[in-house]
Amino acid sequence: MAAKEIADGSSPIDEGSDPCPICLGPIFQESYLDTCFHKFCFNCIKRWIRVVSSKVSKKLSSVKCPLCKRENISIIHNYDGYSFDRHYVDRNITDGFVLTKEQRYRLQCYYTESGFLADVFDVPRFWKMKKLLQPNRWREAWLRRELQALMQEEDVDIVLHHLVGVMDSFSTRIAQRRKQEARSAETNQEQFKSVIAEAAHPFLMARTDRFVDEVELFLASGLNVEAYDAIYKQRLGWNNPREIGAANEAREEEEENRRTRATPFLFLFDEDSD
Amino acid sequence: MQASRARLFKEYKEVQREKVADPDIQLVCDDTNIFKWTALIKGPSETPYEGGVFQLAFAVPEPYPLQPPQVRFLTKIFHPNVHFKTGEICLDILKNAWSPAWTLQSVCRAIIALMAHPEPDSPLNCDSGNLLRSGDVRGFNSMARMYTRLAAMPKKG
Repeated sequence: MAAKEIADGSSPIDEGSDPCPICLGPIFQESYLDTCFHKFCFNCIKRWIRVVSSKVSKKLSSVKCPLCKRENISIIHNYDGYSFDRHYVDRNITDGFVLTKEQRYRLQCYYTESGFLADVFDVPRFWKMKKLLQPNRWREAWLRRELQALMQEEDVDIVLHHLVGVMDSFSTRIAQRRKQEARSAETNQEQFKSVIAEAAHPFLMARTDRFVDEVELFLASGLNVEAYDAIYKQRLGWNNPREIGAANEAREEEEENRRTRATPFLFLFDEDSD
Repeated sequence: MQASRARLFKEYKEVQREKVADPDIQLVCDDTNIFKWTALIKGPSETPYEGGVFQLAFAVPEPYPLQPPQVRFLTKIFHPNVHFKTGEICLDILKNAWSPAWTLQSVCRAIIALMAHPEPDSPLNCDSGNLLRSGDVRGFNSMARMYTRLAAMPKKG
């Protein structure tokens, strides 16, 4: 008897027309297997994969759909109409790709409005001064973490290499062109962003545009990863990890003062720019 | 409430509704323990089990549906894949091929299908398996029918 018959059974099992085949309740945190697109509660299918992987000695890379037995390598979940997350079967044992604290913070930045730090860093100036042509030695470390957070994968070398290559060849083109025909900073900015977006889109999909803004912002900041994070977190109103635990009132007050003044960061930028 | 309890309760409600839909299966939950069920299934037609009613006992484990229920025949049956003494059933979906999408009801259907299509190559009842493997279908049918009459049919007065 095919398992499929159960799914297509004549009468639905619960009041909800389309219950989860595992708990038979209404689907909670709708998720789909990536090949057959059968639908389950995220936790139900995750629990099932854990049971299956506990029975084999090798690391599991795919799982049979409980309904149709087709092999699937990931669960698609968190679909919001624009983007989704993938939970890979081979990472299920450790409960998915574990984001580090820093990667988690970066991912959260993507839920803020774009242009949220526009007043802190002087992006137009970055383009006017053609600072893109100056090497930024923190670029790769920053990009790696960004890609890891967004793609929820450990190994992002290929994408990283690709993006760096695209950026470098773009810079080279500007540098060469400078001699013949000077183009406006705005054109360069626009082209840079569209080139990066095109390169990143296959990997980041709905988050591409925001990613490009973040790349620009980071490069324009001229800061290293730590300093950049510090400013970002301050703006988000998060406590710096260093301050947790040693939170005496005097320091908090000082912190409060610094937070209300917006100018020090412009100063930071200027100091770094020439 | 544990997940297994919630799910069994859903199955219970479904069984109440489906009763008419599948006249070959009658699933009953124990009055005091939702992890204990019994089922009465009709022997499939055109098999030596036709006309018999067979009782199954279900013991549902705590991690259900992530683990399969334990099912055995309470009614004596002569079948290659059912242990003659204990009633234990050799059926892949009750072991390795279990999927949490199966329900107690669908397990009953699978057992009915197994009654109609024995697998003599993985026998729990060797005598029965050997009859079929040696091609003695007539011998097998007659033994199976005899036990159906003896154990699975109401005694004629």
